[in-house]
Amino acid sequence: MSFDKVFRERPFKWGDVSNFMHYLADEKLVSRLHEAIKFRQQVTTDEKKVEYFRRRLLEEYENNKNVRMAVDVCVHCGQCLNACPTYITTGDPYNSPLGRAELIRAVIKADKVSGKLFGRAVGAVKKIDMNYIKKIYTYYWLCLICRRCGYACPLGVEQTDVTRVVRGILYEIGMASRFTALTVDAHWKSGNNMNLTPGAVKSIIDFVVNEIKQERGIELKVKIDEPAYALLLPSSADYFMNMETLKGYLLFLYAIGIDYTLSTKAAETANFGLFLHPKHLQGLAEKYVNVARELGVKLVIAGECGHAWRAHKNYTLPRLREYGIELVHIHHLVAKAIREGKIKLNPEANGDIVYMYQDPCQYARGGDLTEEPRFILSHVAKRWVDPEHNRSWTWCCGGQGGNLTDEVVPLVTQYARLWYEEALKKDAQWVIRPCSICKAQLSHVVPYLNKMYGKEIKYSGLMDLVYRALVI
Amino acid sequence: MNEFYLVLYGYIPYAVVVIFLVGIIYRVVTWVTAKGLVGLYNVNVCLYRDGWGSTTIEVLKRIFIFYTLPGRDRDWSLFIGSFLFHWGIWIALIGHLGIIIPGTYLEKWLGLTPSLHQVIALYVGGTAGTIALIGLLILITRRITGRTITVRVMNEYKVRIPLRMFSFLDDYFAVAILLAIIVLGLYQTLGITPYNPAYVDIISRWMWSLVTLHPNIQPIINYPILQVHALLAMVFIAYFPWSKMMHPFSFLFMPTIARPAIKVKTT
Repeated sequence: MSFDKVFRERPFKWGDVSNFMHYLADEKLVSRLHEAIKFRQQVTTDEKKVEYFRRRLLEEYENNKNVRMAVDVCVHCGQCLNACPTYITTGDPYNSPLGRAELIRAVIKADKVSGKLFGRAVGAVKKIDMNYIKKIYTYYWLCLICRRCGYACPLGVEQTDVTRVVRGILYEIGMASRFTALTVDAHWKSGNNMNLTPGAVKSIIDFVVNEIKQERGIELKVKIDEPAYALLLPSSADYFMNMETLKGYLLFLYAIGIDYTLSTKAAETANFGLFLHPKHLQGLAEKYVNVARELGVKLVIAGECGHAWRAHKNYTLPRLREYGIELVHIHHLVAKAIREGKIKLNPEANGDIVYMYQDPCQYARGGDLTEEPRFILSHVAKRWVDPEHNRSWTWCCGGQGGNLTDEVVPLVTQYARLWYEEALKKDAQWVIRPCSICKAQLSHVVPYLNKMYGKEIKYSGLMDLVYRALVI
Repeated sequence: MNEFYLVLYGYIPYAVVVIFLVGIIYRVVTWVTAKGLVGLYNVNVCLYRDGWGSTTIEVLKRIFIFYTLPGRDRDWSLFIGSFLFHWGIWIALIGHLGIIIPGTYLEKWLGLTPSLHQVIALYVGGTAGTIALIGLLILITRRITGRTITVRVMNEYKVRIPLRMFSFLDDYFAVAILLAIIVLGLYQTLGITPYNPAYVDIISRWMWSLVTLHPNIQPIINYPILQVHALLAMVFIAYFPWSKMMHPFSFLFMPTIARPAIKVKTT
């Protein structure tokens, strides 16, 4: 299988996953990203980087309410530990919300009176050096940012926001995961994660339109870069791996007769800035706002992508509203069309397969999008089941937070066992995970998991089923 | 010696109250003035909760019934320990009003006769103190021994919760001082008050003198257990705002809980 070499070079070891440090982005790439957000790197030597990290951490602790309160009020009750997929499946205490939090709290504590007086007794770190920073880098990039810890914490402490802050500071001292940095760079340059040129976007859409014509006998006219009522944002996986999902969007929008366009400047719904640095998150989100305004749309429709949906709902949407533009998920529109009787669906078209709906983490934790997909699924599939850990308790696919990167596949295959076993427990044959990262991650790990468990689980998005079930 | 007592139990209590109030205001101000949410406008952690009504209910449920504590995997130790400890403490704290306010006023204002007051103090106060103690002992045991939680998917994942690894001096200091306060308080309620009906009145004469800004430490001069209890309580009260003990207040300001989600308009 394609990742066999990585499995040999980086074996998974229970209790210690420090060998899974993400590859670092090179200086050139980081400089390019700095330019994109107009950030000037001020530190070059290790000593200065360590001091900068410490200072910036204290600043961020002062400035971010969620981070400040997370550090201030966590009572070490341990509720987050058995909620965290990275800890459950690896047994490494540092690969857990509390473990990650302590790495940082130790730095903040060292600056407080109690830390100066009592040192390690109160958890303050004695000396911060580059080895310590590397340890922070390793474990903070292995966090999935799935937010399950935040939902488990009785006080609402969300360690993943601390993860985002820490990753941001690491980035500022030149330490960023190569995969995520490359993805963000591609997004800045091309408006999509895959570096698709406008020509490529148009070719793929032509190809998909032709396929729909052949399969469904309908000739669609898809606007690209033209003024319209709505702007559709498919996701990257839809252009390559999951074209059935893309077909689902196009046929559904045709069925409800909405005037929409695609944009080559914002060809996909994504925002890896969420995993890298708040300024990248905001900068990339602003690209969508600008494109929507340029095209004069009134509505932006997000495709199946979890992390992008969280970023859109919690950043892009309020910004779009400043210009009178609304933003919805494609599932909102499908559910509404079903309720209003605007479309006809035939569940027979999706066969007798037992489907399982597994919530992408960023839909269920931060996206308020758990009931619409289930409502749709109940209209497009004859048989489907819910996992026992569903909605806010869903398991991450194992690839969120930048962990789609090749060098950690042996580790994230472990992370992925939880959702995979949910499917096996309920005898599901086909897992629906309507998220681009989920689908990409599944393409990495499902071959290994199928081999490990001797099963044959398949997977797809939800709009794929809508495509097949739509009666036109 | 009397001067020493006067300073310790006559003047320092005021300093403690000032430290407590200033500390709480300071901490809340630091929370309120920190505006950022790591680049987002909203970081809510509750599903489909986008109104102020449901947000308020969520905050109250978390404060008073601890409904999230059993967790998805039903670890009851934290829920039972926390529930007993916090409710025990709250009831006991309310009961302390009966020690602060002199019996004559209690009877005049609330119709609480000395004998009824004593019965309530003994049974309600004694029960509250006992359940707080049991709760705290559960929490301490949990912290020292750690836990193993079973997460059931198809296989069972035994998840070790190594709480001792993540517990530090500040965690132990808080629970140790609380334990001592509760044990001494309980001893006075169950071990002294039933045999010395005037005990409550003795304490209230001292406390009321503090309330009326005429500190008089004479009533308690011969009661060392009460003095230690009060001293530890003062240490705890002064320590409270500067520590994690502030966590009950955090619910009101925590952006993940006390702020409604952004609503998507689908119509």
